[in-house]
Amino acid sequence: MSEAKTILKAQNLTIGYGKKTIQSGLEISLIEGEVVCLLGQNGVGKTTLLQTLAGMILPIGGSILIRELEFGDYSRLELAKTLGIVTTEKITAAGLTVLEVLMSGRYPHQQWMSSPNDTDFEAIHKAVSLTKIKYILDSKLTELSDGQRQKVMIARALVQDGDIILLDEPTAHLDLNNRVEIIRLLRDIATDQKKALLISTHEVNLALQFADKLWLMDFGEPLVQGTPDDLLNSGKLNRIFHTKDFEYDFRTGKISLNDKTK
Amino acid sequence: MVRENWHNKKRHWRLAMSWSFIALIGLSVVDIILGPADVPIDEIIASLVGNSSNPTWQSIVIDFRLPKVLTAISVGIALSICGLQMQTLFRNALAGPFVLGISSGASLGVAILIMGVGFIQIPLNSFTTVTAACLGALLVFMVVLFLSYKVKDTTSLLIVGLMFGAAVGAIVSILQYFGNPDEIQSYLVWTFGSLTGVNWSELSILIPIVVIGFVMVLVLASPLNIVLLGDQYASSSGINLNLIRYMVITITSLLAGTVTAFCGPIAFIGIAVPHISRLIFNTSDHRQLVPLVALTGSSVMIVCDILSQLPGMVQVLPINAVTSIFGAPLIIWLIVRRKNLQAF
Repeated sequence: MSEAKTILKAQNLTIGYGKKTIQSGLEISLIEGEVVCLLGQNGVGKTTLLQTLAGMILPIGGSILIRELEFGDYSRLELAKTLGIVTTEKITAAGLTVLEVLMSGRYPHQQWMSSPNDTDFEAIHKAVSLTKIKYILDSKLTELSDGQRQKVMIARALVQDGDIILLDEPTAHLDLNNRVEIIRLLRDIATDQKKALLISTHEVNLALQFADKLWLMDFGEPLVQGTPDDLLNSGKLNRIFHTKDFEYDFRTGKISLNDKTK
Repeated sequence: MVRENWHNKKRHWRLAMSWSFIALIGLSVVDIILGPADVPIDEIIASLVGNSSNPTWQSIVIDFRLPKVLTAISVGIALSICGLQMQTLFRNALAGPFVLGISSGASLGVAILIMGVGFIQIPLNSFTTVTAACLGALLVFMVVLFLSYKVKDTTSLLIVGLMFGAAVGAIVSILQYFGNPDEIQSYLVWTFGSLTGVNWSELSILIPIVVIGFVMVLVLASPLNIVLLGDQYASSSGINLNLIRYMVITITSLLAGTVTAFCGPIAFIGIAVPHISRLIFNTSDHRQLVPLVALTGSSVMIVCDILSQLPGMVQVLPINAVTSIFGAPLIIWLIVRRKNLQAF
């Protein structure tokens, strides 16, 4: 087994927006073939971290290196070829078909106003087979279920063909079957396609099973990182979720309420 | 597998383009043939090739009907691709140059020029009219775009557009109050909208601007598809969103401003035609939609022009009345069929 490569590395990174600092002194990295799950309560800044790593929000301080190169050295299009995203942004206005959406993912690779070439078709073909969405290729995005749409957007990130894919709550609003299917799909993509995946999620038990690493974010606390087992055994996971009023078994998802009246 | 789907899609598009083109040619021929004066068809052909025996007929065809058809085509292309771009940029099915007050802005520019000319001493000609209208359109567009960041929802934005219309109307009323009767008369005639007042020398300004605008929108077609997916996907796909916004503002102000300057404020073409095209051709892909919308827009404009010439009468209805009478019910119908408005 060859040595795994660090694709993205953030050093002394401070994130936030405007004057508000959310996290500072972050030392984090994404490694090829690895799935990192970003856990934390609503509003703790998961999306801000994701968007900063995606280059959509400027960091307040520190540096982000992709393959040893400073973020700022990448042009928009080069960055798009390296890094794809799947967001929670609701697509309200797209009567585009799945195929058209996937083709739009080839935008950073295409020559100006040229027709799609063999590489484009191959990339789409591969992503379609991986995500098993061939049967909806000609459907419009608005006709799809939430799970189907999520797969299409993941396929689009694959089509973009970057080494890094950042996903913001990809399993939100999905039923159990779809949640497991999406997480397994992402796991396979990371392992087989040698991509580095960062997934923000609330699915603690799925994250524990499928992630290589967890990043835990909490209000006013430094980011905690480690393997799922370490974080679970050390009790750090419980602390992040402030489970004061109830006991939560992260492995089984079982909740037992603490009886306060006693 | 993917390749076949793509080629199928392209084949459908070519077919749609061919039919739209044939329809446009057919309608243009009908529009040239019809008119208050009965010019025999062989004389029309003779006039077009330049050897008519009757100078009056020659003049009717060459100096009146042909420019009118070309104006209708230009106006149709310009307004409908303005509407398409705006609907995509705002991700809002009800966006259009008229609804969001862009045409009102252009009207304001022209009103100031026509009725304020006494104070500011600017010669009133087609060049100054076009400039005034474009500047007015640009001003309103920038304000609307700025406000669209503050208010995200459809309803508020449309109300803002309505308020612009109202405010501009008020300013125009004030100008009319102080204006002299001749100026008021020429402004009112202008607001009715007309395709007939455009002569060859004005067409030599209008056509190049429409061609430039159309080519620029074609260039934007691929990025516009991604803009439809939302700001985050757009920026993560390597698109310079600000550049796209500025280009759309520039093209729309230029096209809507120029058309408004020459033909008056023409309502509903900008908002309705993109929807008609999406409904007929069942596509939202801008690479296919931009040419289709342009063809549909020109055909619709020509149909409106044909309808404006009441059979057996010398008078011609104002084109703005015709587009509104057919456009307003269409938009209401689209809103009632809400499902189709959300998926555009």
